Amino acid sequence: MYEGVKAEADHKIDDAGIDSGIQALTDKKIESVITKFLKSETGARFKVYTDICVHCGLCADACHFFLSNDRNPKFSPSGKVKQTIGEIVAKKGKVNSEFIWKLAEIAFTECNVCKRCVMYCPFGIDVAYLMLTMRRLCHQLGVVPQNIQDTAHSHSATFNQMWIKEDEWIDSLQWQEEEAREELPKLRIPLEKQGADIFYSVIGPEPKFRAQLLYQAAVIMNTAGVDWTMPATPGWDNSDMCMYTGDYEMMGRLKRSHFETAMRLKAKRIVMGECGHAFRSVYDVGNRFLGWKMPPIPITHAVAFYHELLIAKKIKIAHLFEEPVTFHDPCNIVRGGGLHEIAREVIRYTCKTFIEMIPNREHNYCCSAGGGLINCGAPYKMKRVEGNRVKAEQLKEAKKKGANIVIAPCHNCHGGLEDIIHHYGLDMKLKFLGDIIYETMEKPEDE
Amino acid sequence: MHLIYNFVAGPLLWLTVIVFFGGSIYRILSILKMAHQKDIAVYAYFNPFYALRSVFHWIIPFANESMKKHPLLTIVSFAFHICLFLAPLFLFAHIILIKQSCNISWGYIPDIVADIMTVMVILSCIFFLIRRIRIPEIHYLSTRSDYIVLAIVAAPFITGFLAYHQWVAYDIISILHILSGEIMLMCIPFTKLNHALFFFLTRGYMGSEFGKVRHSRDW
Amino acid sequence: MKIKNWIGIGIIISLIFATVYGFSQEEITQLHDSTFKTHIRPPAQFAHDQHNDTAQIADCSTCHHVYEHGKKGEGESSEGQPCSQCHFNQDDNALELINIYHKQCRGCHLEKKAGPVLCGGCHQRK
Repeated sequence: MYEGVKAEADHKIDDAGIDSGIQALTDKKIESVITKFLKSETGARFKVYTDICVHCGLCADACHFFLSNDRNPKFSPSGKVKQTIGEIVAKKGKVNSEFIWKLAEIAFTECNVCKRCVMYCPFGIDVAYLMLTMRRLCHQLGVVPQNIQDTAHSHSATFNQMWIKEDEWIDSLQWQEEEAREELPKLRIPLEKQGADIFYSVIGPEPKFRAQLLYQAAVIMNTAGVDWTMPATPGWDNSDMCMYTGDYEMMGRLKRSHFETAMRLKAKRIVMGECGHAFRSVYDVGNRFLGWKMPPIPITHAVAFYHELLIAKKIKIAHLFEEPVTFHDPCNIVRGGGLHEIAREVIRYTCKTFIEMIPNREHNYCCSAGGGLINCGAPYKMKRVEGNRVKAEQLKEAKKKGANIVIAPCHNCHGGLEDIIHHYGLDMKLKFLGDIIYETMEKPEDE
Repeated sequence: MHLIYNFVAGPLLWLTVIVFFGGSIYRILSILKMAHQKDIAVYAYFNPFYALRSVFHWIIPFANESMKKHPLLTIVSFAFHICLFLAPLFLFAHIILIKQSCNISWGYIPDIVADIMTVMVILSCIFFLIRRIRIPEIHYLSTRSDYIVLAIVAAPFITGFLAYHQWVAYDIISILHILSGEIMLMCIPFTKLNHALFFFLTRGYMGSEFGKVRHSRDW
Repeated sequence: MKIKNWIGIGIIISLIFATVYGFSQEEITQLHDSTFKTHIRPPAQFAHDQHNDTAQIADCSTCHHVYEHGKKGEGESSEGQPCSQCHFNQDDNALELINIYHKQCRGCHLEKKAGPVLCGGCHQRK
């Protein structure tokens, strides 16, 4: 049990982005930005959520940060709201730069905007939404952690997350195509094909760090014989860190470019790789900013797409995956897309032994990397990893039951879980659902 | 005594009716208008089926994970809210007064039941108070207004209980009972008690988002 | 003497007392209407003579009224008749009878700004 809130010193983590942002602020400027922000950017939801919270504390048990930090009240969802929005509203924006530092640290690095607490609040108060409004305020104040802001800069300069140039993108695809042709000589990664059934989009890190995923996707697409294409222009990246830095204007430009690229190629739908936050961006948040109630082109997440291929027997499983597996439900596609049952069906199609983690499905704990936290980079790594001890315990339980493989169909989850597995010495292996399918599927015989 | 009684049961009662109903309608309408101007998505995504689905999961005891995690709190909260509504609305003495002044009436519950319910409300309030003081994460969140609101809710029940049993200072306690009941009603639209007004809206909206857009549960 | 005889004398004495007691004009101290099958509150405390002295009511029909065709009968009064004789029939529920009692007493108290108006003022728990 945690004792004494006041006894604990406030740690301030050095961050060049926050520091330089703070330098440029005066108390007067802070007040004017906040006043304008509250007037123009907050509405009924903000008002009702902050008005009706009866401080019952039920949200606390939902938050992995709270649970992992020995139940420190400062890490409970409503505790974070109290320290941020509570202060701002009470002082009507008359806060100092010291406060803004704390605000940015809480909003960017102590909440994964995973929405688990929404399911524990009797009123359904969306603390994730409230924290995102605070990030938006930080963005307007120019106080954003350096690393994630750099990613947002990359988005605005290149329309992808990783500063990848246009030719590098094409080059990566051709490289993976060449590699994959060793295995399937007739394999193609069709670029710029007009009117294809499927426009396949991925996130920046795939060509940058995890090119084998492009390879595997190409093998799966070719084996299943689907009509697909990828663009040779910007718009191929469906990721979106601007959604998490509070730069909604840039988020809008990104999503527009992604949707318009699919439209330019007259694709029937977009299938996206195994990413969580990108799904949130294209399916839920980005399209709304642009005024589309639902995405203008149907969106299928990789998990649902694999399920489709297996049901239609376009992909056949040659042999079941031998080792026992467990499954991590990524927040953005489970609480954000309801893909938990479909994912389990895919696992049942492909794996011999499946071990559930507890809690699971909508109630699964976040990996603590999502919501842009891992993108805030090294300064916050320990806070993030130690702030998710409950995930380590949850994984340990699954391992005890025999699961050495963790399937997580989300890039951020991979990053977050990798750090947790390493830090807590769990010795478990991480896999994408695509990895499992690639390993177990029937591939066409060489001719 | 007549002067004070005539004031609390006369002009003050009318004020209460106006502030409670007027204030509640004003609060709801102004939020709906604000949502229309600045959160139009709330209307776009609101879905009655999923809204109700969510509401049901949160007004039935133990129909969601949060309640299962806190069984004692769940039992106390439900007992508290049920008694809080039923005891005053179906108390025989209240029915008689309404019958005499408006000539309308409805069913009533036996006094002994109302008495037990009142005790349950008072005990629940004590439970909430202890919880607020003793549990660190709740203590951390608590502001002075949280304690005041709790007292505002408990007051009509404590005074009502004392007045019913006529143990001490009957006249003063009875006047305080009427007064505290009026204060509580007037506070509903303008304090944290407004969760009574907005519960269905926020829960319904979240239910719609989770059900219709995100295809998942929110309980 | 045998016990039987003692009992016999006891019964006779108590019968005599009961008869005398029954015929004497008892002072009214509370309103106890036998029409009510159950009592939710204790009967209203009401000292008839003392009340009328204090309230300066000389005309019995002030309370023991008689209405005919919606008009109060001049010079007529209804002492000795229970209220329920006129005010309660099988279709009505007890609430109606309770209500007319309250109208009669509490209504007048409110109007004259005198006498109890809160429940416990009349329905006292002893």
